[in-house]
Amino acid sequence: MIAVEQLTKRFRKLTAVDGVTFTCRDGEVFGLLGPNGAGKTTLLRLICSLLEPTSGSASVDGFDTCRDARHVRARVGLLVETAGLYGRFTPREHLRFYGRLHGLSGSRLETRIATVLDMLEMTEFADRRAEGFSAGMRRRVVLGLALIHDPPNLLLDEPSVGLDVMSIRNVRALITRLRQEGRCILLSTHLMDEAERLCDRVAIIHKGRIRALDTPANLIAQTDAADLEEAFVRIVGEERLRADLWLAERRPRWYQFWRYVRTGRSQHD
Amino acid sequence: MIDTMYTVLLKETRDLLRDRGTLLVIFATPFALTLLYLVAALLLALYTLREARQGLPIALINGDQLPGLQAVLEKSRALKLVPAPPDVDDALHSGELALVLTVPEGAAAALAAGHPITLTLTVGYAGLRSDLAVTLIQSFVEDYGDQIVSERLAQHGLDPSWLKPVRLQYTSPPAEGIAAAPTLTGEALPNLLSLLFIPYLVTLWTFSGGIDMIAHLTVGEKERHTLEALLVTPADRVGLVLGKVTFSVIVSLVSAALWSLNTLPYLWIFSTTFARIGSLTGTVGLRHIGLSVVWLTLLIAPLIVMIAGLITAIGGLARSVREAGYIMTAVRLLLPALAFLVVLTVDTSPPLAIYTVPIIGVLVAMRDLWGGGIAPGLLLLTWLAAAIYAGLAIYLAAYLFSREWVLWRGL
Repeated sequence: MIAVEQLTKRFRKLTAVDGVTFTCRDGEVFGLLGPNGAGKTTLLRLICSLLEPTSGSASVDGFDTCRDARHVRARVGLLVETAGLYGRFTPREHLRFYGRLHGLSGSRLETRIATVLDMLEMTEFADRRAEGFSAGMRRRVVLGLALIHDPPNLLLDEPSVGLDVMSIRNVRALITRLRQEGRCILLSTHLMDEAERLCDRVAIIHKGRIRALDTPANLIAQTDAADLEEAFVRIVGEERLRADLWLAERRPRWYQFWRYVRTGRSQHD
Repeated sequence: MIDTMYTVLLKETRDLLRDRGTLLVIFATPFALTLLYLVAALLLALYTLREARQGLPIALINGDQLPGLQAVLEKSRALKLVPAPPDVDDALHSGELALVLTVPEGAAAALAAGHPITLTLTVGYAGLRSDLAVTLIQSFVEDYGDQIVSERLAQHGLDPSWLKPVRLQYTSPPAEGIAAAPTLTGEALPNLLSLLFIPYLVTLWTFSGGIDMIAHLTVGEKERHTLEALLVTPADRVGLVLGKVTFSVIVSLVSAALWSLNTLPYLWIFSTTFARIGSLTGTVGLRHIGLSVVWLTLLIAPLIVMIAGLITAIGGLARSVREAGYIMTAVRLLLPALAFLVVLTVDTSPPLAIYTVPIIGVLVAMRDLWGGGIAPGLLLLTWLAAAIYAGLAIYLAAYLFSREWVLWRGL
């Protein structure tokens, strides 16, 4: 289970995550939806203790991300959107290397490698060097790295990016299976269709803050939209409009005067 | 921590073994360069021998004016006197002649009257042949001049040794202070030119091999986008850093050992050559150089570890491999400059504290070791200080490797 309480992260003047609170239960797929730069990836990095929060707290299975970072990392599998591979290593060697760093060894490690290779349909290219892999193949290997230590919690950042239709279907089937196994899955995506299909609950994030949190069906109903995409546009769109008005009101008088001279209209027109 | 270190070390070693290009550059370069130099030296020697055997063609114009000189040149096996062709310039350009020596008209009469004469040397464009010929002619003309003066002195009943009333004899001063203590190498090698090998050795040993790789091992993880996956594991950060540093240090030491092995004959040739030319008393034994190189390698090991640690820290701070590369270039230029400065300016009996200053201490100890020996106690002090700094550098690298502001720079 992942619990986040008033989590805030500032990078100098930029507030990437601003007082975020939610709980993702075991056996649940919790979606993080938001436009680019909303703070989703930063939030995931905070949860797996790659970053330290400016304020607030987060815990994974009861372990605090700051105080018990190593326990947290052992219980989390992270799939990063931009993750890379070592070109001269095969998928099997990648899994072996990361498995060892997770403390696995011997027959336990080899069994787990075989399971992951089979689970992600990588057996065919398990012993080929990663240089020259297609985006889909690379993505599967990276997903394998997140799963090698059999973590009870998964943080998946855009798992379908770069995959073909068949691979997307397989990844979605895998996520459903992992949920059924009772794992807690935090899924960051900007594919509304994916979120609607997979997520039990969804949090819409914009400029580091949660703007809405509910089941996809409830969000659609609350915004009187046809689907989650429309609901998302309404929530984020309203936020953007409000933000623009807020900015316009605070623009200096000389700007308002200049705008009037140029267009003949005041900002209230 | 040990498990993590071993895992990283194993992974990096496997990666290097598969990177044949890099492997070849690191481990084959010392052998290839040695072979290249040997072949070049051999070719040069063969060329010189062949030219000397055939005789370098020179023309002596108005040679009858100085029959003594002509006789000396004719006796020489390395030179071959040929009649001056009609177009001397053309013969010089084409390499038919190595040089032309012109004796002025009335030279014999001028010498008989006790006046000095000037011989004109016209050098061709035959490169090495002309250079060899010039060296030989200079020597013959000097000898001929000495012979004339000796004859004149003898005619006046004077001792020819009056020609050179003052002679120079070179000797080494007795060792004082630190150098007076029992030394490890035993023999002294007070040759300034050979001391200049220290900056060369330090730079070569420190920067050949694994150090260059460190940037790729640290900031390279950022560029490959593999850093996040590495850091999200529960593996100990110090273990990760130690694994990378150990790998680069092992590669550096192996590479340094190969360079040492290949440099040894050159050091010996260089030292013995300059011992003769540069007026040293006696030559230096190969055993002495070999022993010095062994001690130098031991002394430089903690320096390599320290620099590896520092470069790891810098690599972590850099945003990209390119940025790290530029920083490395600056360090690479700074170290030999510092080494030159230390070797040439630090006093021969410096205060004890100098041996504990980072980098400088090792450089001074290396100079002492190479230049005249060093007391075992001082060597141990330097080594211990260097080992402590190496530990601190690795700690700094590990500390930075766990800092958020360092890890996320450039990401």
